[in-house]
Amino acid sequence: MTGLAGVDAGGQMSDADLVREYRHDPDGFTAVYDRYFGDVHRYVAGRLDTQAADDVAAETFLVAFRKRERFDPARGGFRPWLFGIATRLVAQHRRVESRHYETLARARAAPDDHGHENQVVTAVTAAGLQPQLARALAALTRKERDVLLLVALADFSHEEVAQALKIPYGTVGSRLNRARKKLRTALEKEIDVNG
Amino acid sequence: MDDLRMVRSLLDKPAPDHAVVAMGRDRLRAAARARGRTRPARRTMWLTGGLGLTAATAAAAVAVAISATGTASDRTAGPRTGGPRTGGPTVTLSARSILLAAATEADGQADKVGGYWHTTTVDRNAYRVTGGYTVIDRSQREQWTPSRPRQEQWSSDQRLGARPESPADTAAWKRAGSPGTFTVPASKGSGRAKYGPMPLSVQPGRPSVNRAPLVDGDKVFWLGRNVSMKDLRALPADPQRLKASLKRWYSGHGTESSSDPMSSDLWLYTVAKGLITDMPVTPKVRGAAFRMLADLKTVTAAGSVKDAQGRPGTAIAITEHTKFGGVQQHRLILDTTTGRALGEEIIIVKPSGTTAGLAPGVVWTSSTVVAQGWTDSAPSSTSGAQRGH
Repeated sequence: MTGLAGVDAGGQMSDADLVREYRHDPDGFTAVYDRYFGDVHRYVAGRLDTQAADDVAAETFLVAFRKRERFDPARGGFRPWLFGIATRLVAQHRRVESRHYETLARARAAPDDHGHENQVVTAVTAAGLQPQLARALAALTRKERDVLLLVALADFSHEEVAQALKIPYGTVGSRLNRARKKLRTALEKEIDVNG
Repeated sequence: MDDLRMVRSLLDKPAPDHAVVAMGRDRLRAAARARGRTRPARRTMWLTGGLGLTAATAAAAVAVAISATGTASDRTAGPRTGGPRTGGPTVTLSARSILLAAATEADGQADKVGGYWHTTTVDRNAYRVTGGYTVIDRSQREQWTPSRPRQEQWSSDQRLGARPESPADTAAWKRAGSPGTFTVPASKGSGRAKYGPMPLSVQPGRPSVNRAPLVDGDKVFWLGRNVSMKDLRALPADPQRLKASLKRWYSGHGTESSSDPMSSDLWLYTVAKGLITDMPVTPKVRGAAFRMLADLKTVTAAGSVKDAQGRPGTAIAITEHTKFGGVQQHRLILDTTTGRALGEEIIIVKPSGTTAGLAPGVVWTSSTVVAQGWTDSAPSSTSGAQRGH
């Protein structure tokens, strides 16, 4: 790439450095891509499945590139900004997302041939509760799911979620609590039935 | 177990593979390069592209390389001329990357419907004339299409004159005494129809302004069937649904004639091309049309090109083996920085029948969009419009 190659080898440049770089040469934006594409892809793939994520994650960076002049490192890092864009793109694929959860729900919905004991053991793992968990995710409101999945899949802090979704800090906590409560209710109901 | 961790283990996916990462980076680079290339005059270029066809642009049209089959010859994107900051590897762009980049641009555009959809296009056609050389005849068409039913559609047509096509044609024309008129010989009947001799002139003609009521009171464009403005604005913005809605009108033949078999991909290309190039669909629907084309296997990349106006763009192509006109390559030239089409053209790959005598590589016919957008009003009725029927 350009003059930044030596500096960037270990991912040492700050967000502000990256901004200076691409303001100087649009091609420099690929350094932003190289640093964050994998994370964004993983987040989107978690929500939409891998195939759709290939497109949506790539689009995230095209949108970001187009809006690059508006990105201000003083108001938050690339991560919240990029994941915010990705989340808004995911919202345009609502049907893909709900199909994805439905597929996950069905994957283990059929009773498997393990013995009863075994089933009780796996019931407390994510795998055993897959159908319930997937359905519970699908049943969340989009706003709840956005907050929950930024935290669960991307390890976002409340502040980062607030920046990404452009919502007040306090709203992050209340949405997250509501979402987790719904998930736990769905799971506890299932454990009660199985247990 | 912590519910957040359960969610994570349920949804966790492996990191994307290298090909996916590389393709996304290519798409980004395509956008970055296109942006860098045209940035200084991007908006103005769109609105005020000149009309004149200079000898240089005519020659450039011939110099365009042909990629009849496409896949092997998907060419590089950026005419970046190795400055100190451009030492990166050359990027090979697939048709898919080009179309998806255009789609992303289209998605982000604002859209505000006005009274009339106004377009100005310049069409060019190549003819082999008596005397054994090729000329390009040019005409300009301006059109005002009302956004509301029961209004009139206005148009203004003007011939801009014919010119020799290439330097060799110019030399042949000069040897013939630089005549001010040309004759296209009558067709020998190799095609479906027989044409009489057609006169062409180097002189521009006068604009002829017409107005006519809309077909059925509300039909404005053809999209496999006649559609109203309301139909156009209601097209689905999802590529799959758009494809399904367009294909309902496909019955295995071409757009112009029901006796002309045409592949489904070529048909979709033709319909989508019109939608993308001429019609006031929402930006998201234009994006969907780009994505729909991106999924067609027979659509290939034709690389960086200049349109007939001399404007730089990126082309995608589809090849047609015609019954009467030899092998032809249809090209849609895109400005990936605006998500719009600059125009379309048909290039002769193997001349035959109606295209006999034209050199392979010649742009047989092209249509370029010079200006396009919503306006509040039609031209005033005092401009001497002829009432159409």
